[in-house]
Amino acid sequence: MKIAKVRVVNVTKRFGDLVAVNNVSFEVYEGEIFTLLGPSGCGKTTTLRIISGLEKPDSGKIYIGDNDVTALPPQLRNVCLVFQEYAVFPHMSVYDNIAFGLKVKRVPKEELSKKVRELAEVLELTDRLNTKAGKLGISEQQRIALARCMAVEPEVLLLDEPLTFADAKVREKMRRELKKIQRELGVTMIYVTHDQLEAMMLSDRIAVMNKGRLLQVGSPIEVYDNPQNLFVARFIGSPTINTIEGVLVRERERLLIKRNEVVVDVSEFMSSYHNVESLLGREIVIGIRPEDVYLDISGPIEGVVEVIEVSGERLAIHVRVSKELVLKALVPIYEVVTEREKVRLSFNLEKVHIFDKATEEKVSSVSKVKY
Amino acid sequence: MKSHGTKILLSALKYIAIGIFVLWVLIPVAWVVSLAFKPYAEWRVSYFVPKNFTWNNFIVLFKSEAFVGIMGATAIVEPVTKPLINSLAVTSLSTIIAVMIGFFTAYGASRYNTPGPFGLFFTLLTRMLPPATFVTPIMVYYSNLRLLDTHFGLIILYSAVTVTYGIWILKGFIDAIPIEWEEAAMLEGATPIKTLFKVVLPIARPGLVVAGLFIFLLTWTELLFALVLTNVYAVTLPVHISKYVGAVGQLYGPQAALALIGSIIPIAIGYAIQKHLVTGFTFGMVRG
Amino acid sequence: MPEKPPREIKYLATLPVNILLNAVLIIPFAIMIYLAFLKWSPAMGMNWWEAPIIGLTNFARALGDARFIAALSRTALYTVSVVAIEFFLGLALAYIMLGDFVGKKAAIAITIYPLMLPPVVVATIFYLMFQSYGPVNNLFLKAIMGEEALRIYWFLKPDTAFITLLIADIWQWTPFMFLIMYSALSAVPKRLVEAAEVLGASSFTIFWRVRLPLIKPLIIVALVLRGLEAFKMFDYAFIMTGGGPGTTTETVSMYIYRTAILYTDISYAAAMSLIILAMIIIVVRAFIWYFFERGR
Repeated sequence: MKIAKVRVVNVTKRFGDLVAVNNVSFEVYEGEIFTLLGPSGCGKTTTLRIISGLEKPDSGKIYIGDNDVTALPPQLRNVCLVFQEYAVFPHMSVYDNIAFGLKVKRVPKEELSKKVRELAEVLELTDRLNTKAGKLGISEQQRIALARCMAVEPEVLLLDEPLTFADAKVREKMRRELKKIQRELGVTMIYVTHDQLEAMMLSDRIAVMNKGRLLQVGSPIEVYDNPQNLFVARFIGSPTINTIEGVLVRERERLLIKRNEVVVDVSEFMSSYHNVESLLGREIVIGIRPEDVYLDISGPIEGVVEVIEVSGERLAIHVRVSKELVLKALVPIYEVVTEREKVRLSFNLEKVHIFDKATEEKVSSVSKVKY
Repeated sequence: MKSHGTKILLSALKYIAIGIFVLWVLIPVAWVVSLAFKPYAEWRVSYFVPKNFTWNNFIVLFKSEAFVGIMGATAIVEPVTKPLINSLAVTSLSTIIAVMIGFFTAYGASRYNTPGPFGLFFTLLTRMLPPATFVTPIMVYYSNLRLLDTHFGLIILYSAVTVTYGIWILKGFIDAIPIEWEEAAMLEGATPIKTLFKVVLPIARPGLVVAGLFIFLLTWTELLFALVLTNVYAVTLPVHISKYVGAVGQLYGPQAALALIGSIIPIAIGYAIQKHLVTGFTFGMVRG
Repeated sequence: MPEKPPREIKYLATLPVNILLNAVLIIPFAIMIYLAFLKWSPAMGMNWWEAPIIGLTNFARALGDARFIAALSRTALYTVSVVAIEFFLGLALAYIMLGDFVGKKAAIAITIYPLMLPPVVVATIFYLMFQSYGPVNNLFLKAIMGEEALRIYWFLKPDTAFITLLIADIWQWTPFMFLIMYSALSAVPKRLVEAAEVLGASSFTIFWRVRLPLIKPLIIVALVLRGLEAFKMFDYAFIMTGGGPGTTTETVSMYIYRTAILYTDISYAAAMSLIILAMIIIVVRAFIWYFFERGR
C-alpha cells in the first residue's frame, strides 16, 4: 500500500493573463523520486514553488502528509528547496550554510556540529568547511545547497533543475550520487527538469507537463511505451519518435493515410485496431519509435536510404519515403545498408501508437505489455 | 512560529510605527505652513489652522518696511526680491558650469582614466573637508582679487565646490554607455571631439539632467560661503533667511513664509530626481 | 578605445577642471598654509604678505584654547550622537518598510522629503518650533506638564539648546540613512531570501543573518559620509542657537567662522582650519585603508 506523501489537488496559478499552472493534480508517494518534466515555461517550476510555499495557488490545495498546507508559508511546511542557481549564502562559510537551518531550529551546538560534519563528509565538503561559500565553484555550491537542505531533514526534498549548470561529466556523477543518497535516506524527492533523459534515468515516476497542463503521470517505462498524448510521445525518447500524419481513408480494401500527395498504406498496422470505422475520415497521427522500425524485404513501406549514422551500438537510418516523410529506423550495427539504397520497412505492430490529431490524445495502442 | 494573533499585532505595530514617523516628518512643516498664513495676533497660539487666513506675511517679504516687532522694537528688512533673483541666477549659472566641466572630466575619467587614481580621489576630498575651514583664505583671496560681494566670485566658487558631484554622477552614467557607439562613430571618420558632442552628449542627457538638478539643489541651499562672501549685491536667499533670527524682532509669520518660499524649488527638484537622490548624496557609491 | 586619449579630449577632460579647482580652491589653500604661520589681521593695516611670520605660535595657541577644544569635543559628540541615532532609526525604518503594504509608495515619498530641504530652512523650522510659544511647548509638552511648559526656553540653556540641534539634524537626515539602507536591503537577491525561507527562517532572522551582513560595506560608506557631513555642521547652530547660550553650542565650523569674520583674527582662523583639515584627512585615510585595502 503506497502512502501519498504529497498531494497536489486541482492547483491553478495565473500570472496576469498567463495561466502558468492549469488545474494540475497528482500524488507523490513516500520515498519515491518523482519528476516534473517538460520544456521551458511549461509550469513545472511554478508547480514546485507552489508545493514549497514560495508561491500561493489561485485555486486548489496542497497536502503534505495528512496536512493541508495550502495556506502555510514555506517556513511552516516541512520541505526544502534546492534552487537552480543554488543560492548559497555567499558571505557565510560552508559550515554556516549547512548549519543555517539547524541554527534556526535552535539545535544544540554539539548535535549541530555532528550533523554538519556528517553531511559534509557524505558530500565531500569536509576540507572546505571554513571557506566562504561565495568563493567556491559550481559543483561545490551545488553540494552545499544539497547539504543545507538535507540538514533540516525535510519530509519532502524539492529540487529545481539542480544539474543544469553543471557540465556533462559532473552531471552524470551528481545524478548517481543524488539517487544513491535518496535511496539511503528514503526521503521523498520531487525533481524538476527539462532533460527527458535525466528524468528517465533518475525517476521512479515522471509527470510530463506542457503549457501549464499535466499530460501524463507514470513510470519511465509507462510514459515511454504507452504515451497517452502526442506531446508526451514526442518529448520522451531519443531519437524522437516517428510520426505519420494524415486523414485515414479506405480505398479498395486498403487503409491509407493521406496527406497532401503522400499516401501511406497502413492496412497492416491498423489490423489489430478493432474500431477502425470510427477513425475513418479523421486526421490521425501514427507514432512509431525508431527502434520499432525494421528493415524488412517484405515490408509494406518503401523508401530510399538518405543518411546513415552510428548511434551508440546501433545504426540510425533515415529513410525517405516521400517528399515530406522521412522515417528513422534504429537497426543493429551489423546490418548491411548503404546510402541511396532502396529498402523496405515494417513496424513492430505491438508498438504502434495512434493519436487523434486534433486532441492529441491517444486513440489506442496495440501494445500488449502489462503494467 | 507566530500565531495568527501575534501576526495581526505585529502588523498593527508596523502601521503605527510608520504612522508615527510620517507624523513626525509632517508636523514641523505643517506648523510652518500654518504660521505663514497667520496674522500677527495668531503667531503665538497653539492651534494649527489659522482663524484669520492671510497672505500678508508673504506680501511683507517683498516690501521694504519697518516692522513693529515685539516690545515695540522696529526692524527694517530688505525685500526678498533681490536675494531671490541672485539665488536663481547664481545657482543656475554655477550649476551649468559645474555640469559641463564635470561632464568633460567624467568622460575622460570613464574612457581614458585621465586624472589617474589619485586625481579622482582628490576631487572627493574637496567635498569631504568642511567649508568653514576654507572660508578664511577664500575671503582673503577674494578680497585681494576684488571678488567679494560679486556674482562672478560666488558662481565660480560654487562651481568649484560642486563639480566633484558632477564628475562622480556623470561618470556613472557615462560608464553605462557602450563604448561601441563611439568606436563606430570614429570608424566612420568622426573626430573624437565630434563624437563626444554628437554621440555621447545626447545619450548622456538624462545623466546631465540628474547631475544638474542635484547640484542645483545643493547650491541653492548653501549658506556659509554666501554669508562670508556676500554683503549687499550678491546676497542669496539662504543668507536672507538667516537674517530673520534673533535681533530682527521675532517676525515669525514672515519668517515662516520665507521658509516656504525657499523650499518650493528644492522640493520640486527633490521629487523630480527622487530615484537618484541616494546616488547623488553618496557620490555614486550607492545605487538609488 | 585607444589607451591614451587623443590630445583634444585630454585637454578638455583635464584643463577646465584643473583651472577651476586650482584657481578657486588650491591657491587659497596654499595661501592658508602660509597665513597660519603669520601674525596677521586686516585690522593691522598691512597686506598679509607683508605680515611677520611667527612660526607655530598660532597652532600652539589653538591647542591651548579652551574654547577651541570645547568646540571640537562638542562637535565630535554631536557627530557621534546624530550619526548613531540616525543609523538606528534609519535601519529600523528600513526594516519595517521592507515588505509590501498599503500606501508604501506614498509613505516612502513622504518620509524622504526632509532631505530635500535647505538646511537653513530646516533650521528656521525648528527655530520656530522650539520658541517658547511654539508647538513643542504650547501643544505637546503642555499636554503633559500644563502651563509650566510655556516657561521652557529651549535656546537659553546649554543642554536643551544642544538637544534642539540634535533634533533638527536627526529630523532632516534620518531619511538619508533610511534611503541608503532601504535600497541596499532591497537589493539583496530574492533567491537568497527564498533559500532562507525554505530553511525555516523568520523574516527577522532573514534580516539579521542574510540581508544585513550582505550590506555591511554600504553601511560603512553611509556612516562615514554622514559623519563627515555632521562634523561640518554650521547652519543649524548659526540659525537656531547662534552658538549660544554664550558659546555653549558652538561647533567647530562656527568658531572658525567667527574668528575669521567677527574677530578678523585671520591667521589664527587659518591655523585652526589646518588643524581640523589634518584631523579629517587622517580619519578619512584610516577609513579608506580599513575599507578598501584590508580585503574587500
